Order: sequence, then C-alpha cells, then structure tokens
Amino acid sequence: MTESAISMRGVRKTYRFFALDDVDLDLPTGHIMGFIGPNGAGKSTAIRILLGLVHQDRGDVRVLGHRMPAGQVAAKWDIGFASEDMRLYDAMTLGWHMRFIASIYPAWDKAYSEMLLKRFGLVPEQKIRGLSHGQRVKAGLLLVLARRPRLLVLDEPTTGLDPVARHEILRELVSVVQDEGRSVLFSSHHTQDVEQISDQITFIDRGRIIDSMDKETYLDRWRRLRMEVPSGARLPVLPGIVKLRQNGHLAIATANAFRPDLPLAYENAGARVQRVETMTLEEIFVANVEQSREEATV
Amino acid sequence: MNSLIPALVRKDLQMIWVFPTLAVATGCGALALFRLGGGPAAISGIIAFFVVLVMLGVTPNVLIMNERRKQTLAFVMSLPVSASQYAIAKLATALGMFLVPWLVLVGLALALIVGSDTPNGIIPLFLVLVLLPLIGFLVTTSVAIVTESDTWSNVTMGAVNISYSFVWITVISIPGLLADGGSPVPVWNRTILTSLVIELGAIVTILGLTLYLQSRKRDFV
Amino acid sequence: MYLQIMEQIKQKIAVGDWREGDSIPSIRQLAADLSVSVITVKRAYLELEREGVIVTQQGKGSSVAGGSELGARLHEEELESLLDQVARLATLMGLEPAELARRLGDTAGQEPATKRIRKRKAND
Repeated sequence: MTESAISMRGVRKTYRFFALDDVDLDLPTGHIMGFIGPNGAGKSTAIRILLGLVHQDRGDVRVLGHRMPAGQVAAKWDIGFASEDMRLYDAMTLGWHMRFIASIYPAWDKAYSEMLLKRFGLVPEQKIRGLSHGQRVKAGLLLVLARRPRLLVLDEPTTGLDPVARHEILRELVSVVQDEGRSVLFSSHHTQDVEQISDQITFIDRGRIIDSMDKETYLDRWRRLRMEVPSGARLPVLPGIVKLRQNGHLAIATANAFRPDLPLAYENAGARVQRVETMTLEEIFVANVEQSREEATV
Repeated sequence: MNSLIPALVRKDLQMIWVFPTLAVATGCGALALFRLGGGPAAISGIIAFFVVLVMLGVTPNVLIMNERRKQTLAFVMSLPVSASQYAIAKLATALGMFLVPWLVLVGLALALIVGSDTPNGIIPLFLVLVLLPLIGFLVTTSVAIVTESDTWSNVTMGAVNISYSFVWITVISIPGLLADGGSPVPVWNRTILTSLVIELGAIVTILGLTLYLQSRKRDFV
Repeated sequence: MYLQIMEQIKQKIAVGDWREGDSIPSIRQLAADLSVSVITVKRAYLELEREGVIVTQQGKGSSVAGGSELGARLHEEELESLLDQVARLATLMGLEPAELARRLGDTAGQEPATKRIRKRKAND
C-alpha cells in the first residue's frame, strides 16, 4: 500500500492577523482532493507550506515521502505547482518557457505538450504579455501538466476561465489520476468543479479545517428536509440537524449527519415531510461555513 | 539530481545581456576619451569611466527586484531550488553581469596605463579605487536578495551612490595611497596593501553574510 | 452524481448496447472519459453490483451481469417507477382509477405526434 501523497499533521502557522491552526490533511496516492474555503481561509498558505515556500511554525508535513520544508528541493522534482498569482516572464514567449522547463525536467513529454497546445488553443511563438488572462492560466497549466509530475498542486486552476476552458482543464486533471501513482490537490471557488472531479473534499475556514473526507460519503451526510407543520407547533432540532428554519406552517431542516430514520422522527414530531433533497456542494459549503462560524462565536 | 543553478543563471543572462554589453561599450568610450583627449577631456574620461563602473552595479538589482515585483518569484521557487540555491544563482548572475564588464574595463584601463606615458605608479591606487564599485554593488545586491524589499533596496542604492563621492575623496586624501603615484613602477606600500586586504575582506564577509541570512529564511513567497 | 452514472449504464444495457457478459470500462477509464472523480464511478459500480446489474471480478474488471432478462427487468423497473408517479399525481388531482385507466389506454393507443396535433386543434 503506497504512502499518502500528502500528509499534514497539527500544522500551525501564525501571522499577525491570521493563523493556520491545527491543520490535519491527508491525500492518498492516486486521488484528487478538492480544497474549498472562503477567501482568506488559509488555502494559499496551506498550499505554500506544502511546497516548502512557507515554513510552518509547528507540525509535520510530508509530501511524496519528503519532509517539508527540509526536503523541498527533492520533492519539487516531482511536484507541479501552479497558482493564480504566479506569473511567467512577460517578455519571453511561451515556447521559451516550454524549452526552459523541458531543459530542467527529464520527464517532459514533448508529444503531450504539443497536444495540449492544440487543445488549449495556444501558440508557442506568442509572448506572455500578449496573452489574455485565461490563456496565461492555461499556459501555466500546460507547463505543469506536460512534465507529468507525480503530484499536482494547483491554487485556483479554473478561476477566470470560460466554461469551455474549465471543461478542458477538468478533463486533463481527471486523466492525470488514470495513473494510480499520481495525485492532484487543487483549491477552487467553483464548487461544481470540485464536486465533479474530487475524490476527497477538504473544507477550510478561518485557518481551521472544518471537514475532510471522501466526497460521496460527505454528500450523503447532507440533506435538506422540506416539511409542513399542520399544527404550527415548533419542531425540535433533532441530532444530526444543523439548521432549522420554521416560518409558520413550513419548515426546512438542514441535516449534516443524515440518517434514514430522520424523516420518520420528524413525522413523529408532528411534521409532514414533503421532500428529502440532496444538496449541492455549493449549498453544503455555505451551510457548513455558517455553522462553523456560529459555533466559533458561541 | 543536478543543481538548477546553471540553468537559472543562463535564464537570467538570456534576458538581460544588453546592459553589460552597453556598459562595456560606454566604458570603452570613456577610456578613448581619456587616451585621446587633452587635459579636461582626459579628466572627463576618468570620471565617466568610474561612473560606468558605478552604474554597472545598479542593473542587477533591477533584475532581482523585478522578479519579486512581477511575481515571477513563485514560478522560479516552484522549480527544484531552495532559497539558498536561488540566492547563489542570483549572486552568480549579478556577479557575472558585473564582474565580466568590470574585468574587461579594468583590464583595458590597465593596458592603457602601462602602454601610455601615464606613470605606472598609479596602478595600486587605481586598483584600490576600482574595487569600491564592486563592494558597493555587492552591498546593494545582497540587500535586494535578502530583504526582498523595494524600499530597502532603493534606500541602500541611494546611500551607496551618495557615499561614493565621500569615500573616494577620503581614500584619495590618505597620504600613503598617493605617495608613490608618480613613480614609473607600481609600489605596493603598506597602506595600499592594507586597503586591498580590507576591501577583499569586506567582499568575502558580504557574500558569506548573504548566503547565511538567505538560508535562514522561513517565508518565501 | 453517481445516480446519473448508474442511469446511463442501465440505459446502455436496456437498449442492448451492452449485452450480458460484455465487459464495461474500468472505473478509472470511465472516470477519465466522463471527467468525473474515480470515487463517484466507484460508488455507482458498487450500487449497480448490489442491484445485480453488473458483476466485478478481482483483477478482471466489471461486466454486465448474466440473466437474459436484465434488459427487460430494467425496463420493468422504469415502468413501475413511472406508473407510481402517475398514480400519485392522479390521486393529487382527484382522478378516479377508472378514468385514469381510460386516459392511459387512449394515450397508449396513439402516436404521440397525433396526440399533440389533436391538442393544438382543440386549443385553437
């Protein structure tokens, strides 16, 4: 059984106005992990710690078996990193960048890089300063994909891309893990993208990990119950329910630990359950963040 | 695994080779002025020559600060390099960009002195003087690499440039240095040798300090 | 999302694109083809196996389960589910079973296109 691609234990990093606290994260090899959280939650910091670009104050970080930050040089031979705020050299062409990367990494796949050029609609002779935002993002991803690294760490890879480009990127990311020895970690605001291709989902808010688990199990835990309360009586907040909104005769309960007997329990409490709905990751995301912030203030 | 340092240096040189080339050309112009012109022109030539050396020290900093300003630092640090290796590569590039033209110009100047009727006794003093831009350059480059701050970099550059005039005047007024300037043969008296030792010591200290401080960095990008 | 994948696979079997004994793509292969996570496909396959629609053999991958009635069974399930929905809606509308049966007979005996034209003419 191969070791995890990424393992973070008890990681802490304190800045003046922000702190990453007690972060535990585990990415099994061959999987894709989606990293979601509001702006400023600490995604970028956590990702930079993984690359050894930021040293944690406390905690154990292992990437591809290397301890970070000490093993960062060795690790970076096998990691492909692209982030939204990373820039290439404006005055140079995409082709120059490709040759530069190819000269460093022996695993550069020329045929694959040319296929990606076509698929992404990029021209190697073009200077970086002449590219649109979307094209720059695709260029950065191309440079990282064509190396076929064992681990891809991507900070907002689909932000700012049109739907067609997003679809192309997602397709490439899933094709990466067709090789079971390769893994992907990506952070994103686009919950649909995360929902579509992630095997694991990790939620972070205000420097703390709220949830981290396999996607299907996670989606299975969340349900929305739409109910009618004929008597108008207030419904109880049963265990597993994280939010209950009642307005007169109608009530909506959001469950984050759904059990099949939950609707029955509400029926026994006097409600008539109209529908039990699954929730999209976006809805879960919002509900989750609301709940964890409420808990923090209590 | 190979160190990435040569690749990084090559990459930087590809991007900014124009500057040192221009500096050498201008420096040669200054030397020509010194050699061929009469009194005032010759003095202008000397001044211009030293100005070129000072300006040579400025361009590498622009390179380094640009990398941070234009956010290409993340791209470079995503490659298999450590903070220390990055500093070494940058120092190597900067030194290359400075040293090569510096050696060329100093070499040409020395050849000019020896081959002309200028007393060769001026050579030791000349060497003491031309090492100063090198030290000034190292100081500003190291500050740029280690602090990664535009503010500190600019302040240091400004301070160093201003201090040149003072330092040169001070140095020239030390009697021991000027004493044997008129002799037809270079004389390496105690003052000259002490000055050279101090300068070389300063160079080694600055380099060592830069590498040490860089290796202690905890937050990169 | 895994439900959609299950539907798609069932459809393929129901219409005969995949016959019993045919092997179906590996989990990772299908994930790549559809640009979805491996774990979603895995879940879909697991459920399908539980329902007896496919079988998975260690090291050999998955294939359509035996039992020639599989296609027919899937159609049967779909019909039951739809009838159930119709019945529930009819009750909501207060439609008598007899009336519902009559409506169903009419609909079943006609081309859908003819029905649409009839409706349009009735509305003019």
